[in-house]
Amino acid sequence: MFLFTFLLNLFTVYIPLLLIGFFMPNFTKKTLLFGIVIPEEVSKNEEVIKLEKIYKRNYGLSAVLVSVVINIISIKTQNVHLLSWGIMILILIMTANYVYVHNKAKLLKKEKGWTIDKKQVVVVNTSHHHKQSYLSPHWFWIPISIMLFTFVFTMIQYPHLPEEIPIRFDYSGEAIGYSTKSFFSGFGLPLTQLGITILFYFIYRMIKGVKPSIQASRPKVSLQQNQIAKYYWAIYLLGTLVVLQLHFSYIQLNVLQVINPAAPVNLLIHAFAIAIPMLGAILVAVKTGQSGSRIKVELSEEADTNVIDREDDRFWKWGMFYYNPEDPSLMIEKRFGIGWTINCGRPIGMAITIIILVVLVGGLVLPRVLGGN
Amino acid sequence: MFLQIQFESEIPIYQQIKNQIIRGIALGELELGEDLPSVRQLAADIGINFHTVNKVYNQLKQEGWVVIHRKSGVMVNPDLKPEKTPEYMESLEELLKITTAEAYLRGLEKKEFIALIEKNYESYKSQEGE
Repeated sequence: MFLFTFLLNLFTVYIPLLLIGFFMPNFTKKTLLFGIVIPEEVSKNEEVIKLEKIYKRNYGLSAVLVSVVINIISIKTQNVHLLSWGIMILILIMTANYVYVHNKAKLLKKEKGWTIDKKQVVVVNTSHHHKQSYLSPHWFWIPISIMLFTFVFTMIQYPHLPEEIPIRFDYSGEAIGYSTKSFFSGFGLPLTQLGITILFYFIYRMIKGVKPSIQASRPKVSLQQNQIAKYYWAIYLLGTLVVLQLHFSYIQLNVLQVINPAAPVNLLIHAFAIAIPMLGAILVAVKTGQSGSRIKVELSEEADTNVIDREDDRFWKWGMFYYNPEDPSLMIEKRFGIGWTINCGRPIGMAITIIILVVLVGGLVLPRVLGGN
Repeated sequence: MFLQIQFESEIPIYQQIKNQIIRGIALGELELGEDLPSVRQLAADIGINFHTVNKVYNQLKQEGWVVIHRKSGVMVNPDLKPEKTPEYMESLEELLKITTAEAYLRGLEKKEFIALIEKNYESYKSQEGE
């Protein structure tokens, strides 16, 4: 069983994390150098390319070395927990490498004075009704119907269930935990399905509403790229939700003892359920890049070299956490990497950040403390 | 249309937004009756306080450029008919007194100044034919 967990971690976490971290500079916007605002035209400068090389060398060496050591020790000791701690360590190494070059980029910009003679502007679009079409919410009927099917099927089967029902399974599909029949043991999974559907719909709405990051020197092209990227992410979100729903429904059928698949089939289904969302995210990220900067659009637009995006570096603590109490938006595009992050300058934003940190740290530390091993 | 806001400018942000909306109407980039973003949306997009945007919209409404409905939000006044009121002519003259004085002192010729005005007027007129 260790082997399966090990391989799963290796192929869905360690290798993707290593690759993502290494190639990240290739996916970021040309107007941001490790989280520092720069004019687009300097992105091909010698110093900029040198900084990217330094990052790749440092990151490549440190991350690969640590991953290899963690994986070898965990194989020797057959320790699964070490693998999950290793992920935290790897993320810390990614962060440390980023903060190091982020500070170097800040100094470099100051030294070269790239932005001194530029007009700093924030560009916004007033024509919201001309918006590129976003994914229709009606698509959510697909995951909802999978969920409803599971609910109804569970309701029909529930009276016929034995007093003890299996609720936990190992990877080969053997039941390892039983519970007395109750509403929560019977309907736990369908209720979880309801929860993730609501969560995903919420994220879907959030992506739609988050402000586009319009590049001051190419407003038309960057706006369109932004909207297409949002559309792709919405499709990804829906696809992932469908996979999750199918996966949960499959496990529920096991709970209800309607099906009892052979171990290899079961393994394959679990592997797919984890791999598809994972690979999907990488695929969309490669396709869009940061704020859609890798998407080719048919519009052509001469870059205005007199203007530059507003220098808001000071609102980004360590180039990672956005803290701007003046900005009313709760969600904002990430500075380095692809996706969205929270404005900690807003009271709700700060609260969410603290909750996430507590849950993350608690999730790692508590089992150790309570379990005593 | 795109609004271009300069945070480091001497001109206050609310004035920049107001100026660009009026110019957008004149250039035809904003159509009569076109919806404008809500106070919340615009404030979040620019990254400024709600009050600043509120101030802009209230001034634009008082001067008749936009109408604000409680339900449908803010839009460019569909029946826009601004007039050359005596008050406006007075304030225009005030404005020109300062602008021409500085231009004159900086050695700008009368012709050059008029050419500048003509260039702008042409860009407004060219929209009418369409």
